[in-house]
Amino acid sequence: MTLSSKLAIVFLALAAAFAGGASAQTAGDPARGKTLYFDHGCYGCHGYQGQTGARNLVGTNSPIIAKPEVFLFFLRQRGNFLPMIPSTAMPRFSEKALPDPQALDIYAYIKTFKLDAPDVASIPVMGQIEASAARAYQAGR
Amino acid sequence: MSNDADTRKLVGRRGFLKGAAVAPAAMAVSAPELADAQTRVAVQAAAAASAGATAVPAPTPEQVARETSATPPQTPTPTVKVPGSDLMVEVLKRLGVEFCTSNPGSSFEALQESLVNYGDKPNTMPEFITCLHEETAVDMATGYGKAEGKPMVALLHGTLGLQHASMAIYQAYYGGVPMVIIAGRDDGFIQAHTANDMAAMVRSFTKWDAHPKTLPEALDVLQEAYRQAITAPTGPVVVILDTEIQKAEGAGVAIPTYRPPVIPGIDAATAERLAARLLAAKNPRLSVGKLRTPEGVKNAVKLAELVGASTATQSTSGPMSFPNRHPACGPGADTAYDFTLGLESGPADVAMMGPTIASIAALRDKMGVAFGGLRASPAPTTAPGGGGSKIGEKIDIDAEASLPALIAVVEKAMTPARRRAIADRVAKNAAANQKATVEGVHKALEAKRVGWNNSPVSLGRIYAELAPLIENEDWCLASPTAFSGSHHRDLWNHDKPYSYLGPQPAGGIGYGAGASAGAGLAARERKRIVINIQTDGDMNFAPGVLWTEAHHGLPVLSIMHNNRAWHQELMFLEFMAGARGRGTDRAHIGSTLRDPFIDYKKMAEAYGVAGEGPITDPNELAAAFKRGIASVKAGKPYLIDVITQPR
Ligand code: HEC
Ligand SMILES: Cc1ncc(C[n+]2csc(CCOP(=O)(O)OP(=O)(O)O)c2C)c(N)n1
Ligand SMILES: [Mg+2]
Repeated sequence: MTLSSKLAIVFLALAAAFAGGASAQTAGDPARGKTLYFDHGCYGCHGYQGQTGARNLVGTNSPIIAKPEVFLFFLRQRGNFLPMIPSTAMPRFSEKALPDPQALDIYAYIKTFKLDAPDVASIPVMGQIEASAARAYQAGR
Repeated sequence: MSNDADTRKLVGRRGFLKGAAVAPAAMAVSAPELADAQTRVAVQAAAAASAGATAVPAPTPEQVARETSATPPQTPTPTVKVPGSDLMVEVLKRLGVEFCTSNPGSSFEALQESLVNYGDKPNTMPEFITCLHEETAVDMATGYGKAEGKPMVALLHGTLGLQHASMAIYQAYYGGVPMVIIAGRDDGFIQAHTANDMAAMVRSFTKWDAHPKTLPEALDVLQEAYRQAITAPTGPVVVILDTEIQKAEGAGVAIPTYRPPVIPGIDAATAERLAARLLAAKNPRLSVGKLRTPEGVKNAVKLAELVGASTATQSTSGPMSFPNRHPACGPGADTAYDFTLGLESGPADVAMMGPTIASIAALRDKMGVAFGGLRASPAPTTAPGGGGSKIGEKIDIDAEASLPALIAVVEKAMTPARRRAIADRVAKNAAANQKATVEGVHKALEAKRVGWNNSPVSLGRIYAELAPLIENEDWCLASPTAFSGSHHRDLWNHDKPYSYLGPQPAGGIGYGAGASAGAGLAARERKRIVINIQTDGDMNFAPGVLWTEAHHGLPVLSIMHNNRAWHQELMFLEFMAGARGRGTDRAHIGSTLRDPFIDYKKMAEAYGVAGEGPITDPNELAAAFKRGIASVKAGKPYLIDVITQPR
């Protein structure tokens, strides 16, 4: 089993654990969250709309962003090891660096993201690319 | 030594420099220029006074006083019948050197004068290409060398030019890119621009260098430099040319006949052995890496077709490899290969691998720097050239030079029965590879549609929108593409040796803009267009290259991947800050290009390149790309600023 699938199981379990219990968290404000998403550089690895870059934050059915509690847990529990070689992995966000209320604002903003992924068949350019790939090869073009 | 050298000694240029040196401190900055003007006038005076005599007396103080005043100097009489530098240019012409990139410098004034004036068609073969930075001059040679597999010249001014160019030379070395670097040397003029052993500054990262002492020797050396550059391991070489030799009398000096290098290939017995294995195999495969020249690629295709081998390629990650949509290219109908031959690549049962720069690095590294990646490893476990570790038998020989012999044996051993079996396999492989291509493209598109209408623009969309527009053009993707997602890999048809020129050879930023312009030199002569997906950080090291593109009419379409950051570094900093529990909200300091944003359309315009943008709406891309392609096809570079997602 890969590390990421192990993690997925952990977070699914967490999501289940948090299920039902009334949320202690107050809901975040997506407008404030938008500014924070930029200021804390989330856009840097997830794209401005959460769908380009290292990992999509929309349309993935990830348990990590299914509930605010799990999301907060995820932010805090990232390893605080110093990378011996430069890393672009998801940073750890300590309570001090990104307090719960702000993190929840970001969460609220992330939840506003709408997946923008038209069908391949509906994009003319993609149709042309597929047709081109299917065409017989011509040496020297 | 030449008469001219004598002349220079007599006019005592060092004397002038000494004079400049004792000038008040406040004048220190302009002192060299002052010396420059005075010295030139003095030399002209001396030449005029000599009226063609071989040895001339030093000018009297009165003469110097007169000549350094505002009075225009008299026309100097030529001191030689045939300028030595004309012969140097003749050597380059006969070698077929197309271009000479340079930023002007007095240490090669004589050579520059010959380049622009000598010959039936002066300033062609090579054409003097004006650069605004020596780093650009060498990066251009790199782009050209990668695209064509042959050298052009970068002409540099003494110690200064070499230092400005040094990172670009270093990268050319890592990339094994053939080029001839000429540095002018003028020991009588500005002392800070000269050195006894000038090539020493870059010796640790060049393949070969020479400092000829006479004109005949210089002509030989230029030819040897060319041979060295193109012989495996290919790489940058340096020739130091003294002004005395450039200005020496060339009458009676013969241009030596050029002998192309003999690059050893496999012997007859090995050719027989490998041909037999290829022909005996039921399911042979070629693993093709980076060959030296387009000729090598042509022969690799020929061999694959002859023996009906399926083929692995590196053409989507760099130049001079197998066309990625050739019917032979792909997994083939059956992935249980019974014999794999590597051509500068593995994994393979047998791989022919020529020497790489790493094999000579220790020898050249006189300073003991031991550059990372070129250090001699105690027991090499992997084959150089990125072939991986699974190579059954490695033959230390240049694959490209070996192909003709191998092909000849295969052709001779061909029988009608073999031909039939091979034709059958070729058809099956072609069908399977075609299917794999179509499926691969579809899978890629499924991923790239995510974020399709995002603004800032998604990088996948840029490459996708370009695909149908360049499909019927002869294109060269010259910029490194890792930072913009390399979406060409699975969307574009890399059917030329120069389809994609690959990454910064040593990871140095500031390379892409120059390399694209250099590819533009090759493209201009060949009615090709260059696509440059230009990151913003890279652009800003030496943006003056845009002027060179405008000035020389280079067909370079630059599409800004304007993420307003040295984004790779921003991400690293974010992780680092997070690991230390300090938050990522200050990581933008020193890693972003904001406050103010840079206006690339204006930048392009300032240098004479037409441009548009910034584009934030992805639906505007296609029309802009069409305008850009039309412009470059008409010989005018074009820049489109696109505000992009960071990755
Ligand atoms: C330096 C790059 C980087 C930055 C900055 C970054 N992330 Fe991530 N993030 C990643 C990577 C890589 C992953 C996926 C793999 C992992 O877990 O490390 C990830 C995963 C996630 C996930 C889980 C996604 C899933 O599939 O379930 C969430 C949620 C997330 N990030 C939110 C954020 C937020 C919020 C910020 C800003 C406060 C942020 N990230 C900043 C790199 C980054
Ligand atoms: C000469 C040089 N200086 C600095 C670096 C470190 N460096 C690596 S990536 C990078 C950022 C490149 O920025 P840009 O070209 O805009 O690409 P982006 O990462 O933003 O897509 C830098 C500065 C380098 N590799 N080379
Ligand atoms: Mg950038």
